[in-house]
Amino acid sequence: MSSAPIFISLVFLTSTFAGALGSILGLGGGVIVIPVLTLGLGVNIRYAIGASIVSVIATSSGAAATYVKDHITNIRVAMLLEVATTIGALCGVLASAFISTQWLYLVFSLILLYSAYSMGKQSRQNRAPLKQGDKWADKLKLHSSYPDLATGKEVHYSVTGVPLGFTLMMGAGVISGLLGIGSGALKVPAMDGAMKLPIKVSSATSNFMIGVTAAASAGAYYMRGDIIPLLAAPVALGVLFGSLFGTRLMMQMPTKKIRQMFVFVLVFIALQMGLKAFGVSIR
Amino acid sequence: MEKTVETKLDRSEALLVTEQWIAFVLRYGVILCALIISFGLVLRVFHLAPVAGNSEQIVRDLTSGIVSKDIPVPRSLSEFLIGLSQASPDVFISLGLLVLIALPILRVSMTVVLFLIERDLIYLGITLFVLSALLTGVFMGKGL
Repeated sequence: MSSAPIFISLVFLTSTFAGALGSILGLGGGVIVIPVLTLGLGVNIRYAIGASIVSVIATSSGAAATYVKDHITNIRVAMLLEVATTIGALCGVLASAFISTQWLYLVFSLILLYSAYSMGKQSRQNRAPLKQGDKWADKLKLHSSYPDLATGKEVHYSVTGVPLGFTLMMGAGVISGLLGIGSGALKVPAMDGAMKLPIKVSSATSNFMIGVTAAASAGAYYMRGDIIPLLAAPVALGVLFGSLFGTRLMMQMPTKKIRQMFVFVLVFIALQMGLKAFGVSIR
Repeated sequence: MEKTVETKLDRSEALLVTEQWIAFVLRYGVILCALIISFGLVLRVFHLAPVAGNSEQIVRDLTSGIVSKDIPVPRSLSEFLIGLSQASPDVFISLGLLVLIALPILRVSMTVVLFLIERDLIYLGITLFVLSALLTGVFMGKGL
């Protein structure tokens, strides 16, 4: 690598690929762009995390805009859980300042394995909307409704499992802050599984929250000097561009087969990140 | 898309208006950031303006896996003003990145207004807490 323009182009192209792949697989760009930058280009994981967290804000904001406009996002649930995710994210950033790079690789490797696992079994069914929520959800007025575009009717739903959802979200925030990823793979199960929100509302609200969670840690990473313009710019633009492209592609692709195929790719990357944690480099 | 507005929604007028505004700010905010960042990148790649620091050295540092204290990141207002007046590519890029980071902060601020209008004190407290957590992040980063 001899000059800045070549480096920038290379980072842009790989980030575009990562963004497209991330949106096809439903993972978001960060989980893929960080291994590419660290394993592929030799970038320090701190800078890769800094660049990734900014791209997370870019991609989630675009998607969030669409969902909010269609009235699918539950803003009260989002605001409540953002208390958990932002506290978590700040703890994650704090932790990242004190733990070694080896540990970052190890945790990243585990999260990749988890993503591969949840991608492999991803076939969430639409269940009937919950009729009776818990007392926390009553008090906090979390029950809401969303318009079902297919039938044109409004679907009313209740919310439950608030304490558990809140706790899980704090964990998702820690991972997001620590590793510079959106951690949607952890947020959606918390809302869908623990709080019994309809799956559409879960993914819309998760997207809505990802930007705020990421901003909590991005502000800290920026001031810490981890967001390098030369690296973060092509990553943010590439992932954003790639995710727009990926969403278009997704409509014409047999996504289920691709998912199953890439489970192995993810496991492979996870192993490489894991090896790097123990000081073995295959580059 | 417009059909959804016709179905009678169980949402307050204030919530509907806020949703529209949030969607607007997020969508066009991202486009604005992408434009600012692209502008800085074009300046940088085509050598249209002087660059702070040695870019060859920065690329070498970045690809060698080290953490270098020598990679310049503009952080203070004066650094931004000087950099922008000199059309510094890195400062333009950083400005775009900062505006991007500010978008969610702006979004939370808009929810603060929503809950003020709805006189919902619990959620006003919740949103103000989130807002302060976001600002805490910025100050925390300085100390790390």
